[in-house]
Amino acid sequence: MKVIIIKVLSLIILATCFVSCEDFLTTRSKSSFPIEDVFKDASKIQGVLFNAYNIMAQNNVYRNRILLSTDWNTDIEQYSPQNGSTMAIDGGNDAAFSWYAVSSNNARNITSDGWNGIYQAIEQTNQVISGIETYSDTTNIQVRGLYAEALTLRSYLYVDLIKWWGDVPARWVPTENDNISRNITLPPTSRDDIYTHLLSDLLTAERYVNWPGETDKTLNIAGSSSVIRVNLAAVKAFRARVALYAAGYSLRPLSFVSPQTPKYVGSHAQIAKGVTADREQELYTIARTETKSIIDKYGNKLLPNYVDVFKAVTNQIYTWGQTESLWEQAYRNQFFGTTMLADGSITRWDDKGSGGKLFMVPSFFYDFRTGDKRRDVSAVPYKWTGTTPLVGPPPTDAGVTQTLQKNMYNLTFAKLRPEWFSTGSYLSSANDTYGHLVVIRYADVLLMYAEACLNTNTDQADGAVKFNWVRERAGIPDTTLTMDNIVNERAFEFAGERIRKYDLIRWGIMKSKMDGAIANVYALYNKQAPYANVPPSVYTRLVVGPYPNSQVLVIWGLNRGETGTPPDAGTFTYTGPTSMSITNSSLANKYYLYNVNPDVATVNDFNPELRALLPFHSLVMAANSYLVNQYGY
Amino acid sequence: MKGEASKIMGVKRSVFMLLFLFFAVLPIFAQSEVSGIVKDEKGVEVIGATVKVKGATSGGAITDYNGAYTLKNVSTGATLVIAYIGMETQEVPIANAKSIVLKEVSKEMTDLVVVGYGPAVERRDLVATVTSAGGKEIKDIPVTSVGEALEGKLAGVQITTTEGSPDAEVKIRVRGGGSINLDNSPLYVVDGFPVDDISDIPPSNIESVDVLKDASATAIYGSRGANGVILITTKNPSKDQKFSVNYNGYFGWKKVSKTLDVLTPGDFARWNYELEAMRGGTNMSNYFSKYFNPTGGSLNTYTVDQYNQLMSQYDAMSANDWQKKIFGITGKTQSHNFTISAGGEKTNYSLSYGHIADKAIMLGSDYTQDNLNFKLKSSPAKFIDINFAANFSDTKVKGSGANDVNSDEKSTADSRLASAVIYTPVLLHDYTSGDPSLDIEDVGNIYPPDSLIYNTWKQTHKINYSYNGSIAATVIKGLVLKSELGIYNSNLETDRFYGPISYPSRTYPVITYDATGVSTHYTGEGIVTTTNLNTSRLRNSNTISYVKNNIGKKRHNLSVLLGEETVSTQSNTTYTEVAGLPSYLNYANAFANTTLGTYVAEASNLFETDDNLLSFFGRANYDYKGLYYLTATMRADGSSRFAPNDRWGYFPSVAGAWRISDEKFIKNKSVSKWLNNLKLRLSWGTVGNNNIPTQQYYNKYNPTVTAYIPSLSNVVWSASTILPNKDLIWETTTTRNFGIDYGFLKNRISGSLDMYYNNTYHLLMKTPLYGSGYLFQYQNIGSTQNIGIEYTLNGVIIDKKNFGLNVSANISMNRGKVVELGNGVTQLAASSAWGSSNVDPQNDYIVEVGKPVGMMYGYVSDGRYSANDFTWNGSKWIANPGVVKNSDIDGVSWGPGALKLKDLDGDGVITSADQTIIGNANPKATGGFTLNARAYDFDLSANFNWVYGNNVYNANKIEFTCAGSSSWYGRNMTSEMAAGNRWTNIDPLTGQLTTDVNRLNELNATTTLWSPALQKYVFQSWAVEDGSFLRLSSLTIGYSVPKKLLKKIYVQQFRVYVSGTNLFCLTKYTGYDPEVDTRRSNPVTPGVDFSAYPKSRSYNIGVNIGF
Repeated sequence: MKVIIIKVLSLIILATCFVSCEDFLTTRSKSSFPIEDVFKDASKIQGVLFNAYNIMAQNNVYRNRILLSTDWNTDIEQYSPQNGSTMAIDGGNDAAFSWYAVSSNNARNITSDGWNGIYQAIEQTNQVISGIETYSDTTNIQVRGLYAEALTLRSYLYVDLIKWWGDVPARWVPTENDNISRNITLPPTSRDDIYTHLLSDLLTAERYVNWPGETDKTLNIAGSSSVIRVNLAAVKAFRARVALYAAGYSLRPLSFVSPQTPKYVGSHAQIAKGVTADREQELYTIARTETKSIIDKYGNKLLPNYVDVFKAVTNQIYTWGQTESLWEQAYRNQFFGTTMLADGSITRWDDKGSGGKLFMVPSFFYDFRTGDKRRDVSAVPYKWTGTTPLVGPPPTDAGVTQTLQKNMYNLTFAKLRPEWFSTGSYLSSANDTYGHLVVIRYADVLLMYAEACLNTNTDQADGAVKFNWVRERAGIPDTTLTMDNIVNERAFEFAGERIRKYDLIRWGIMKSKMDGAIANVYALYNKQAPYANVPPSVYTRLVVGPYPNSQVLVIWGLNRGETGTPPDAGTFTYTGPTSMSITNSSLANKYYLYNVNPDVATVNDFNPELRALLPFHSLVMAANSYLVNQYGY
Repeated sequence: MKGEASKIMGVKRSVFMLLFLFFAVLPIFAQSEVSGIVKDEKGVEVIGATVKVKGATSGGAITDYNGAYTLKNVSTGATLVIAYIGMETQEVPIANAKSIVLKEVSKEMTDLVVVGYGPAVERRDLVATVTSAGGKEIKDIPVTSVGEALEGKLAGVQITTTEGSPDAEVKIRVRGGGSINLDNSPLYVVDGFPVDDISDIPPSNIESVDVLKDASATAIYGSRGANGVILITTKNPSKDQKFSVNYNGYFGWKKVSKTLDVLTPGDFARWNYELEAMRGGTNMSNYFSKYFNPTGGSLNTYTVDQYNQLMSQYDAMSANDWQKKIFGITGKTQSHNFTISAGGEKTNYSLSYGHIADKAIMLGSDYTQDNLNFKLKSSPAKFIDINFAANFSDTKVKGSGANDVNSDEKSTADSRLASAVIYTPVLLHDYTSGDPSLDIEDVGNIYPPDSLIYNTWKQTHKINYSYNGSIAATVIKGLVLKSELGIYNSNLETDRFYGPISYPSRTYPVITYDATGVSTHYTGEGIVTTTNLNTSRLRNSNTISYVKNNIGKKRHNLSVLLGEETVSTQSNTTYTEVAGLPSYLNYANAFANTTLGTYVAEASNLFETDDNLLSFFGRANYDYKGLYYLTATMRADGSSRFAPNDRWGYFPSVAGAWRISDEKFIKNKSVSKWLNNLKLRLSWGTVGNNNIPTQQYYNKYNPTVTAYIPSLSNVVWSASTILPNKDLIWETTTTRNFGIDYGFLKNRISGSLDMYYNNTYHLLMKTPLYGSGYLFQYQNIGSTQNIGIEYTLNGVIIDKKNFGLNVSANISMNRGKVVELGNGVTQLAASSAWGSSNVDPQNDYIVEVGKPVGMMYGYVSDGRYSANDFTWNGSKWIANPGVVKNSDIDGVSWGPGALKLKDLDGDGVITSADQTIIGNANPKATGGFTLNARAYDFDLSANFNWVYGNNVYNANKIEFTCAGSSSWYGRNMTSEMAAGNRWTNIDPLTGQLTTDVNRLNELNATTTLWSPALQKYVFQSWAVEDGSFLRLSSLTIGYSVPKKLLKKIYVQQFRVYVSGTNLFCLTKYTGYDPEVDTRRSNPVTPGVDFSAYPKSRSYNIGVNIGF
């Protein structure tokens, strides 16, 4: 027995010596797939690309944080008005963004939010682009479509990075995971070079995508008429926008400041262009030809009614033709809705109270030409109130009422409205409202075309025609094609749509327009021209509203010419001058669009243009020594 | 098989022949009866000693309660062998057998120490640095976990019971730990088997705990030996061949050891009035009037009479004592442990069952554990040893402790301790709602603590079982082949229930549509999540050892061990989330009725990458006459966590010892009369650490459920947020140790002194990557070092027949330091994140080159601003020239009485640049001491442990003395901020805020603290407290019924005892308990006291019975 046992034991010990070490030590999770496997199959590639959308949609990336507060204030839009004397600069205060007072430690500018999130999404697109180039069958037309979509999505992400932070590290290949070719930290690349790269990428993408609804180049897996996926019209329109941004002004350092210089005195930045006059013409030409080819294809594709543009977004209609959007960013919307809703809007059926974050500059309300349909679609002077919780769905007793806002500066942007929901599409969740983020819509194509025609001195007459299509839809008479008119028209058309700020910056007129807006508010308060004939008193009356047991306001006194008492005055209640009246003293006392509080102001605070970019967060700079805040703040 | 069977027959035959021979020769010798008495050196009768004839394989006697024995049929020339546990075995010729005196063995010298792979060695022969504790030191302390029982007992091992809950994590650190932001837990090996934690081993089942500290000991474990190795040996069957039954049990009662005082209802109302007045009285539609004033009225228009009348109403109210309701329960603990052991010549076994039920002090908190253990040792033939052990444990924990249900340290919104302390002490109503009886529940972003517990419920159920078998065969004398096989399986089920008032339910983000487009949502309905973590591990080790003693004139002893080991771990996690539960389901019945849920959000099963380890190791021990020792070990580990080119690590060590006391020049001199033992030890070696998640070297894509892009997809193929690293290598620690073991005065004074110097390099760090497309990467960067001294002292002070007193004490000092952080980085900021974004500064810890990990980084307190620092300009306070600006942090309190911080950079404004190191979580020294005394049949033991010179970050204190976010109202505060202590701006003569500087000075002449109307939780030096303490962790008084009496009822042992734990804790710390560590998910933020489950004091009655 002894011998046998010893033999057996020896065998066991011997056997282990023949176990292949490398096989035993090379393990993989059954729940994951290796890269070469993933890129063999278009539906898996799409899964990887969708992770880019997924990251963008996450809480602290596009769904929240940066989107909430970065894209204003402007001459027409303002984030939650604040009394300058109580405004805090730092410490997670959202208002600091819109007040052009973000410091590099602002908790809302923190790294896990926008900055890291966008780069994570870029990494996903880089993985897709390089994965397809390395492992995939590039003759497969579905794969080609995904390749184009990844290029376009990456361009979109870079444009936002540049909009928010200026010169940033450019990553065109996946981040390497070894010690040899480390590209984990990269120096910033000039935004002009990035734009050039994007214009070329987008041109490549155009070769592989279809016009929406068509299938000549690719078979889009998700249905080609959906505007939440990339299509040829979207790529062309976006390429035009990139060209315009590249041709315009932006905030640039006066001179390079080395990372060793810890503090700044005085101004270190200027608003300047990064391209030569020749290049500028080339860029405008790109914008013109791209938009022209869209218009040649579709003609006047504007929805006939301006309000339908936003009803479609509200109801999450993203089929080309039924919506005016060429491209929307898909996500479960949170603060985008918040900034485009009337205060107190019902966003879910057991509660209410979203909205009321973004306001129209009061004087701008009166700048709309009488009869312009866009004014009352854009902003509302009321909020929703009520105490009865709704039981749903659908609501049996809304018990909500519109109440006039307290002050003229509480004109809430409300381009998305719960009351526009068509039956059966009450979409919401507790924190989320509805509507995708519209990236670009047809009116923008027309106005970009007109602007490009004007600036290249080509086809100006045709440009004027397309320009006036937009005005005609708004119900106002045609006008001539001039730069001033374009500047104004884009304000009326896109108010509250996160476009204005970057228009003002690229045109180099941000400070003058914002100072002009502040002067206008004072003129309004003092009833001076051009606001001399604005009625000082407001009357309201309640009528049955869109929800069960709800009431809405009829208002007299907000339109020019509505002076005196309303017709059938007995049914109205006089609410001015304490509510919504331009004579409210707080209007003038508290009116600022950027940080002018000497108690908390720092260098450059008095010029929003010179603080138009976000500083890098201190942790970002600590991790990447190439990065430095060079603009004096 | 046939051959084997016939061999067994052969063995039987030989045994039979032997017996036959034995009886056959009997008549040859004269036979007689021998009897005598066995006593110990003090003259006490030894009961239960075995007395045998030398060489006999059967027979023998056991001494009775008088120490007497009688052996029949003993041949005249025979020699008796007398043995008793704890005594030196003696051989006595029967001529001297009448009166036998047994000598107690010197414990220090002959204790067996387990060193891993291969037989245990006697402490006298130990070369490595090993600290041990025996089962006796553990079992008498009525605690539920081994770790807790060891506190203060092991030099060089810092044990922190992180909070007071029955399942609290016990954090164990051996010699500081070398990693920075990865786990520094030691490797736990139970009966040779590596396990993830030791909380499921019943303390009463432990034979011994051995902690390997220097590389000479740990290098044989190679991987993960870097943070020390804790070897636990469970009880083996007793070697005497008796059948015995033992029962140990106790009942205990416990109470919370400390609570915090809060504001009285009157003061609570006054404070909320002042807070809203300072905030301008416009927020939340005049909050104060709405919720505090039954008669309505606006804050700005209160007359002094109205103010006084209202406040007197609140003065008259009695307060809800939430702390008493939530933590004031009298906990009840019971523990029962039965052990049966028996055996014969060839086979011994034991079977034990343990049950612990702990009804803890917090509402809804409950802990039970059942254990069943079986051990078998068998030698079917002389050359073969078979061991088998089976362990089963079943642990249930109900209630999720003092923190949020989501994780053990997340979210302030649902933290129960905060709710219990600062939730409104009187019922508030919404007086403006039209229904004045409507209670408001959500006050100041916190919910009623009792309903919160049942709305954010967690229960866990862990089942572990393991089987270990080994077979060893002696091929030739000294050469042993051994093969071990172990299987371990654990299933941890975590169930969570979220009721309607919980944050997840209130914000449940899911909507579904039916075919007609009608939507359903699940907001405000119950949610159940179930997570099952399955882990299974297979281990096989095969060793060859050869021992050859007394080589060459009996001077040289040599032993060699060679081995191979594979460990393979698989794990997978299943997760289900069901929402839309009907309202009649609650925390108690929801888990069993998830079919009633209307929405299945997720049902996933994620497999982790297998974690495989293949190792080869060897050890050689040599000594010369027991004077000079030399040990060398070598281990090669291959880990599947690293890329193919970097997966092997090689860890050598070498150590030597010199037993001076056995040298001739001492042994023969008079010194030897008092010097019994003196040994010097010196060691050097390296050990490795692969403590990173699996699959770190290549990109992988996991299909993952997402809810963020419903219009595109519910599943995405996500790559990791951690960037892979192909070039990761083993983290390596080099240790150097110098030690002295000593024993004086017949070893009545003994102990050891150790000094060490450890370096860890190629640190595995989870490095944040900003803007790289990934959030982190594991990198080998930086290095750390630990230097320290450990000293133990054991003294036998009295050792008389009826009295005895032993004292043992230990003290350890460790100084850690970050030597390098790599990439040119000199400091890393870290956030303990206890108060999410409400804490200023966000980064409240710092890792800095040249300093240890655990540095608290905040503002320096400078008291408060005086009224003279400001001027009222008619609408607000304007700081006078030269006054440091702190308006951002102070918020509405910026003005007279505002919190003042030191402007360290002198720029006139408080910014993050004014942060500095304000605390160090590392103690200067730790230790403990134990007293054991006996008098007649009574015994007493007292265990103290202490920590000196560390800081505690009292986050509770910050939260409980601050108004918090500007949208919060109605929070209470602790009495530190009572009226008379806090700055006030309300003039009681007017009931309104005063802006008169002189009046403010007058009103606050006796107050000392700032205005609590801060909008942030400010981490300042005021909240950093001295965490030194001395705790009487347990005191036990026992009485053993004399064996003479027991004999009559066939009982071997009967002892009753009373004990108390945590009877006192001397400390200057103002929070609940200074031994606390609640923010552990990031290892660089130790020592934060935030919403820890309060510790309790317990009293127990127990009994030990042996049959």
